[in-house]
Amino acid sequence: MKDQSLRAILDLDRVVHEPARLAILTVLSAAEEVEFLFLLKVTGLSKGNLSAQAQKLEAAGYLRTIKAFRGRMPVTSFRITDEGRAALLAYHAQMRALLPGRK
Amino acid sequence: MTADRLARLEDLTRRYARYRPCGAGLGVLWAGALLVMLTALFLWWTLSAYAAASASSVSLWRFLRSSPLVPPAWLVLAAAATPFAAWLGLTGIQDWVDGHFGAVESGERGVSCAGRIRGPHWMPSVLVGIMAVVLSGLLLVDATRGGNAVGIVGILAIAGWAIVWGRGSRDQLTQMVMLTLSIPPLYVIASTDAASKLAAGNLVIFGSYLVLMFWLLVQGATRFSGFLKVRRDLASIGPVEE
Repeated sequence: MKDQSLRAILDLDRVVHEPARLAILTVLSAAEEVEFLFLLKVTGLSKGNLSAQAQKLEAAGYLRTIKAFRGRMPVTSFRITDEGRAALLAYHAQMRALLPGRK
Repeated sequence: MTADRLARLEDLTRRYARYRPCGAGLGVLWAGALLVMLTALFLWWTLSAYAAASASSVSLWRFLRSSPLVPPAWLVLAAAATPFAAWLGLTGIQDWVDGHFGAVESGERGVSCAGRIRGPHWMPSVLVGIMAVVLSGLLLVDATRGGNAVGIVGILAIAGWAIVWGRGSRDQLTQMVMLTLSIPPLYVIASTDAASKLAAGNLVIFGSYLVLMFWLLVQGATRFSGFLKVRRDLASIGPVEE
């Protein structure tokens, strides 16, 4: 039993398990497209950290970055990919199995 | 990161996406002001024409029904400019809101207007299109008796713009604002055809659309209050541990 739990912990997706990245993916999963500025406000992360975490999620194929302009201002937005949504769901399922009291 | 915290992040994002469109509800205020101004101009011109005709022996309604009143160029211009001015103002307000808090596009197909009106998101644009076809058809039929081609172009331009505007937004409140600000100008332009005798009908149209706009203002105020609450919740949520 103990080995199984250890295995389950080791099997957790490390990309999703990090709190900042988990928060980013959670926010993205609740909308179609989210702008960088809103992610900054809702997560309270610094600009640098948010950029770095978003890059890691993009490298894993969990989100897509969209660059556009609002007037003359460049705007960066993110969209969760199908892989990202599946990884988030799988992570929640794993956590529920590990911690049965967790919703 | 607790499950409660994640659920709160999700809920905040969903609510923000729902309350953000139409300038977080403030766009309706701008649209309402424009419609009230256009109505005031229309009423002022109508009452002036009534007074100038020295027709005090007949009621205003009867006077409008029997007189082939043609709106002056300034009123037609004001009417034609109203939907475009509304779109410009709404875009400006939306950019201001998004510039401060960021844009979030909802994944929902057609954000409902307080759940009261249901229907496909293209319906308001189609309604404006149908009305434009009917009214420009009326002008076209009367053209043989001196109707005007400029009116037809104006009506089709408003309808075309309404379709472009409608396609660009899935938000029902924005769509209803577009509808409410597009139909009365169509009637004002159509009444440049003296044979149409739309002056009396326009009073009813403006009255009805003012009532609709009042309802939209209530929806806008509700949305703005929801938006302020989301902003408060955003300010109170602590940062994610780094």
